[in-house]
Amino acid sequence: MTVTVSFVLNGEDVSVDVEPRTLLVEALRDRLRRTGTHVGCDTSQCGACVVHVDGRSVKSCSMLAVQAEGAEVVTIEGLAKGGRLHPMQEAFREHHGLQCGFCTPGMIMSALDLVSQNPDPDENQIRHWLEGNLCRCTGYQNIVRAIKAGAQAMRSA
Amino acid sequence: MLKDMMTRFELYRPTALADAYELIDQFGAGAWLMAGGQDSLDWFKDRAKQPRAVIELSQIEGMTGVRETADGVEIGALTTLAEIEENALVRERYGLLVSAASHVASPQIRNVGTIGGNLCQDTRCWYYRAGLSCYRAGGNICYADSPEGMNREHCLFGASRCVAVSPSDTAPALVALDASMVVSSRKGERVVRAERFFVGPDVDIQRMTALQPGEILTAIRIPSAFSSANFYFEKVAERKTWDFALVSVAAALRIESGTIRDARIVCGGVECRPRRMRDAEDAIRGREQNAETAGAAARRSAGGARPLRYNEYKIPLVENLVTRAVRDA
Amino acid sequence: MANDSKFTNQKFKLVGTRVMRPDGVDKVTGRARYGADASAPGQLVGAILRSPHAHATIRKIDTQKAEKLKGVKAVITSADLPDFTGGEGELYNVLENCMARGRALYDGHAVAAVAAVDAETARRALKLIKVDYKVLPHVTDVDLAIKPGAPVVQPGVKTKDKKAAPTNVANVTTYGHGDVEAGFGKADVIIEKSYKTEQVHQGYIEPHACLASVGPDGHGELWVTTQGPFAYRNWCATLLGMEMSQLKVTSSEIGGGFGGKTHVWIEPIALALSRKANRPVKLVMSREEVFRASGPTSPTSIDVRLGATRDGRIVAADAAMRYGNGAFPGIWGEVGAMAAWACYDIENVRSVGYEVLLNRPKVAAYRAPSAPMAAFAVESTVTLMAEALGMDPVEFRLKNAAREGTRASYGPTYGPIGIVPTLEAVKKHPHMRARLGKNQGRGVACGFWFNFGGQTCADLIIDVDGTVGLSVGTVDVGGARASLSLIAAEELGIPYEEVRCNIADTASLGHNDMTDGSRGTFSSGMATIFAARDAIEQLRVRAAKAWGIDVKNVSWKDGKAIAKGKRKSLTLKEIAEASPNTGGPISGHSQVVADGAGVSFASHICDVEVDPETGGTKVVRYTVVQDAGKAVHPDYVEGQFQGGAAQGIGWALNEEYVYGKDGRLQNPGFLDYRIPVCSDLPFIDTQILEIPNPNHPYGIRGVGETSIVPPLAAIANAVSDAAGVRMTHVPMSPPRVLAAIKASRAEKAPTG
Repeated sequence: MTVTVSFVLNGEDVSVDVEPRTLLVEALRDRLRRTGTHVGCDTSQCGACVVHVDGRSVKSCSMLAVQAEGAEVVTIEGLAKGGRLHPMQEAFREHHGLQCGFCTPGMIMSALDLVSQNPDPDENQIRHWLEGNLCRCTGYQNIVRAIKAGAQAMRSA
Repeated sequence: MLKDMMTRFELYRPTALADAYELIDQFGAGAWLMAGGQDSLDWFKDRAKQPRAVIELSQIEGMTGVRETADGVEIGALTTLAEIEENALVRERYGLLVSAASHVASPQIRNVGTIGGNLCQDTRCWYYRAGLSCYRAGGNICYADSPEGMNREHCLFGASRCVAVSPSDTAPALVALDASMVVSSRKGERVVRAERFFVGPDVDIQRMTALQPGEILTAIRIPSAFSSANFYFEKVAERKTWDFALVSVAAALRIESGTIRDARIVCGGVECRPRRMRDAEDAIRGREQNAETAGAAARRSAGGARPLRYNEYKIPLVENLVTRAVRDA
Repeated sequence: MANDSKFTNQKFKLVGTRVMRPDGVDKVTGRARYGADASAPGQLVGAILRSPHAHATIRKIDTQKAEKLKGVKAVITSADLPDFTGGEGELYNVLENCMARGRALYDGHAVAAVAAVDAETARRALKLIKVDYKVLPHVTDVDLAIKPGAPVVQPGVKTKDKKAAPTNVANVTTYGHGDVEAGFGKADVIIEKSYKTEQVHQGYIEPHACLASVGPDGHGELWVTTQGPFAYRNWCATLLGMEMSQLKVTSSEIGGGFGGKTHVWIEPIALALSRKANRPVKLVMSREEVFRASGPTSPTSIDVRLGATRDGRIVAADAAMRYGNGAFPGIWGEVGAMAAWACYDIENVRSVGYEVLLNRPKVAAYRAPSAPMAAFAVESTVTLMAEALGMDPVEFRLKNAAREGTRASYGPTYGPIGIVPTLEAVKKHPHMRARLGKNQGRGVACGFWFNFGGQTCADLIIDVDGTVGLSVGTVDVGGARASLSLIAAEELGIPYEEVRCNIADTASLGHNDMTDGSRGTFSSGMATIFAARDAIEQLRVRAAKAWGIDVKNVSWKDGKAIAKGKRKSLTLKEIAEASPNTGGPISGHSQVVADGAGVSFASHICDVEVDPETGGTKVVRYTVVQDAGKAVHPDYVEGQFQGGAAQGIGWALNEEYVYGKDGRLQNPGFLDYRIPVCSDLPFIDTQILEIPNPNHPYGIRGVGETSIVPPLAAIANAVSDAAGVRMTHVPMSPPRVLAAIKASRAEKAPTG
């Protein structure tokens, strides 16, 4: 038994046949082949699978694909426009906000949700906002630095 | 029992309560009500629960948002925790709930998870969640309370065969605010005080709330009695964030010129439901808010506690948290 | 001079600058491909059936029903993995760990596997496999496992002679020198203390994942997240009875490893499934499988005895170190015993390592494996001794620290080392003078790691447009491609941007040992220098040819060939462009055993705040001082310092494997296995010292691991300072700290 779910993915209309139990992350990775959204746990802790649904960051392992019906979904692949990195992506690259890079897509998507609500977050606000995104390589320091710089770049853009 | 893909289910997304009731009738015990899904999907992934039909409530009109009422506010059960954190009215009057909501999980979970779901989530007892056939799951043993049981996170009070605790951060806050739960069914609506909404194993060992089959929690009403009172919320967990409480405290104190006129103090993580510290409340009404009064409250907060093999540390934790709540609210 | 590894003390133009990483854009755009991101036409999905028992005999496995299920293409058990290893030794252990052979040795041990057209069919097939277990008594605690009468994990293991009864102590190793008992006889103060650390996991965010394909011709390919494609290739080929050259292993981008990806787990199974099904098989572990059935680090139980004279000189030191190895014998107690006293100059010193078998997963390396637990015990005791003597803990350490010429407790005599400089830097650091608030305390601890070198191979290709391709065989776990490109550019004298570093697959380059032991930048850096020098030789030859002079008159400077009497020089680009007509392609090659990895030392300062009413501990400030030899890319060196400290903080405060009495892991998920989140950690300050390694042309030492060694002890020392309780059991979780505070108050209270 499958159902067709249609949504806007990174600005494009997509339709995909899924089962009701199919998670959004499974639809994105296995069916739509957007493998930039990673799975580190599938139980909503690690945050590697964070995407935006209607502008808010959510864990795509903890949402059914069907629940994205009609929504605007943005993944890490949808941020760079016209061959130019999004300022937040640029900040992560420039400020070494990554080592292995596995948590990076989820970190960037979370960070953008924070900045959309709070354009000038301080270090404390950033650290608390990232509680749902695990990084095991960096000790988070450069991630915090990158988000501050990314937010500033977005403010002056 | 490795994590597994979810079993197949039929998914329904009713747009009206009446349709939801219809579906509940149709599928009976095979039906599962899902709000934000943050607890439900965990159960399905573990295959510890295998519903035939999942009734996802998000499309039902009128179950989200915060409304001002004649006596306080009414919060739709499907309001997300993030919306509650951001709501100006709640922030202004019921900072206790804001504080509790902001301690739930992590931002992405709060973006999706609802207040209703947070209140109705099931216990975290790992034996129960592993799908073992314990009392709560319809069996005839409590693994946590067996000689070999690992029970560091289990209850101090109210054990009755099962020793699980209530995991919700918002539940103690709502009990402290003397909130009421609006419960709807085909038969109509009934309003249950928060304190009675959460039930222990002596009342029903397989449920943590007073919700009966066919009933849906549709809204939460918070009266103005403790609007803008002095509040205190603290949650102690193994890790400071993104964790369930070992013990939490939510307190609402009405203080006039330094004297505590009224108080409601509630602890989470110590009983199968939020535990009101009535003895402690009685001990401080009419007294000055100070360290001495706080100490008096603490001394009367752990009476009757029956620690298990590994959770005795919760007794000083309860006493210390109640002390702080009374002293610092 | 081409392969001379002596330190040259040259002035650098590029090494030491903070350039952008070459893999950055891929990683911020989702383009980078990790283990689970590859797919092949016709691929099947693999799944593994695992033992629910901690210890059991497997009487029978019935796979018939599973095989008949529509969509199932292969079902395997150990019968499909015949033994090519000779029936004993480490390789046999690896084989048995990958798939149980007649006995399940821990909760999560693989017993069968299937490949099917989709995940659901694979899962259903697993449920149709019937395993007849006879459950045996189990043991999961290090101290209980060595008691007489404990259930025996490996009946074939006998500690001493072959006639003795089997025990759970697989091996005992002793290190040290002098006469320890005589030393204690000279001591004015002796401190004895026992410590315990719980088992922790590397916690890499990317689960193990691979895509395996074996054709009917016996040729195979494996795409896999690994720290060592060559080691994986050798293991997998041997276990499957393949010739090594028939199996090509390509490492994906790696989503963290920290030692956990230096061992095969699912890979031989994926290959065996593919061989049987004759189709590609993708196999990805769930997070729960990662916790239950990959390779966490050892749980330990350690006794320390330390003797000193009143003037602050350590005269005797002794440690008995019991390291849980999981179900198979390893060398973890031995490594712990070697590392234990390495920071100090001690006349009479001994450490004994015990390899203890448990019904837990086979232990694998975790960042400076075995050293953090040893340092927790030793450095806690060292601070206790300083307190007992009324000395400043830093001064006491300085007084006893190892120096150049000190004979290390594990054997060698040190060359120039960094322990004293790191302690001197700590002494001068503003952190040490910062005022502590209420309920706050400060702790200091030192750490040591050996660092490895080993077999290394690199190719450097000069393309005809003058840009350079560098192929190395050490997986890039923390920015090595940037560092190695910097080194190649430095040596050649060209801009960093003109070098592109690539991680080669096993068919494209000679053998490389794994990226472990902090050897990546040290050893591939050395091979890169040699390969560049090899290429320069050829560039000089081509220039000489163009000029019609003898090559010995041509030298290489700043990216150009120059010769006496030639006003014009020839740039690398010019030589490269001409190369098709001057002798063809130009490349450099290097194959070395990189010896002389310089040992590494660090000293850490930690401030904590302990809430005496909840037992909660918050790290409020943290400083890492470590010797890097030469920081090739300082940002990435700092990243390693911070990352290691963060992992140590998690280990000290929150992380632990919790086994139930039933021998099953109770917390195989990130919710209850609590790695630090962003708000758990403070700003981690770093100070890089550069004491050149004399055995590397650039002075490089490994930097990746040492930073995880001091934190357990630094935090324990700080907690003791803050709350007046000496925590001897990590993690120092709130319930444990609260209980300790309560107990200490009860002790101090007047009795009667």
